[in-house]
Amino acid sequence: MDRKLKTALDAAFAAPPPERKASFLRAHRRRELGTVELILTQAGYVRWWTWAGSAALFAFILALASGREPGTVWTASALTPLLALIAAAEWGRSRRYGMEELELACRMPLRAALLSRMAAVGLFHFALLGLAAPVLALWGGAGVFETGASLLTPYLLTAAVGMELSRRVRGQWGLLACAAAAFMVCALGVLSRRARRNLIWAESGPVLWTALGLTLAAAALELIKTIKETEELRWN
Amino acid sequence: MALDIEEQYERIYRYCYFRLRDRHLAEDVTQETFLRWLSSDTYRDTGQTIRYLYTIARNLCADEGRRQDFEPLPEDMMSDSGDPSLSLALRDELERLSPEDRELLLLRVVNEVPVGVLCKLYGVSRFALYRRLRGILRYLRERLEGA
Repeated sequence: MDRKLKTALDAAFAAPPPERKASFLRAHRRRELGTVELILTQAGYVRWWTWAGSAALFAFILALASGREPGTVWTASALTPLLALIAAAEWGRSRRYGMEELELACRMPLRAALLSRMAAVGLFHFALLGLAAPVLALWGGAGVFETGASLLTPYLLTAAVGMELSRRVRGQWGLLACAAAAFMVCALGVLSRRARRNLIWAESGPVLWTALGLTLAAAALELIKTIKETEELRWN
Repeated sequence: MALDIEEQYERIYRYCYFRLRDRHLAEDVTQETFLRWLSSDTYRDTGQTIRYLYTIARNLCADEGRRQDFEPLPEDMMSDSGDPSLSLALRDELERLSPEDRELLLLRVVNEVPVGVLCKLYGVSRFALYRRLRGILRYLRERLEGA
């Protein structure tokens, strides 16, 4: 639409200035939570062992991969699904304990609360993986980005499968299904290491980036589906 | 997720003024709309806020419409755009449109209500909404170019 018509329409539909706007807004001002503040507030509701477990697992991955061998990165990437499992356990908490309806009735809607908590946990995990990538790259003799991609791919794959499973399988069984999926991805990592012990990064590069792209897309799609389902629950 | 109440106040007020043609009544209805929204915790931070606000405002305006007859809008209450001839011609053409089309034009073009919200508000598909809006704009453009 051309700007001239838009301006003319704006003017044609203009209303005289409201007289009591300022006093009304002053009297009914309410505090809005910003995104960062919301995430920080909700991070407080994440259970302590989620943070402690993630940090312990991170330390364990580093300790296990500290052999400075060429396969170091494979070892580490085979364990990152367990980090995703911790995130999935946190994600499905209200559903597991049958608290969805109660949380839906709270002032802070379940969708915003879940997204904020997952953003907090996810950012924490990405920070840990971001710290691990240069160290492992140094030990394994690979590039930092390749190492980062090989750590992220199993994490995102487990997260995507975990979200799909937690939507389909209710209650405690959902967590068990996520755990099974995480261990299967771990096993896949171990098998990959056995299959290609002497990894040549230059050859594996395109496969690695394609796998990362696919898992990233799958995780994003699953996240959108899960958020939509949370909204549907609200309107039901 | 946070709603800019100040900005939405202006828009809801403009919508109410368009429906009621009385600045005091429009402001009363605008404030009543916000009071009802503020008293309902259920709809906060859900992305449905704008639709909720317009639904309340529309219902309140309809209630007011049933209660009293409106006086026609005095000429001096409409401000002019940069091009007076365009403004006059546009005003004439807007009068020829149906009230529903005028309302859609106000909501989408002037108040910039998202298409998704309008679809839910009117209960139509995106395709139908875009087609209707394109038709109105094409009509206005043709008439203004011909004038």
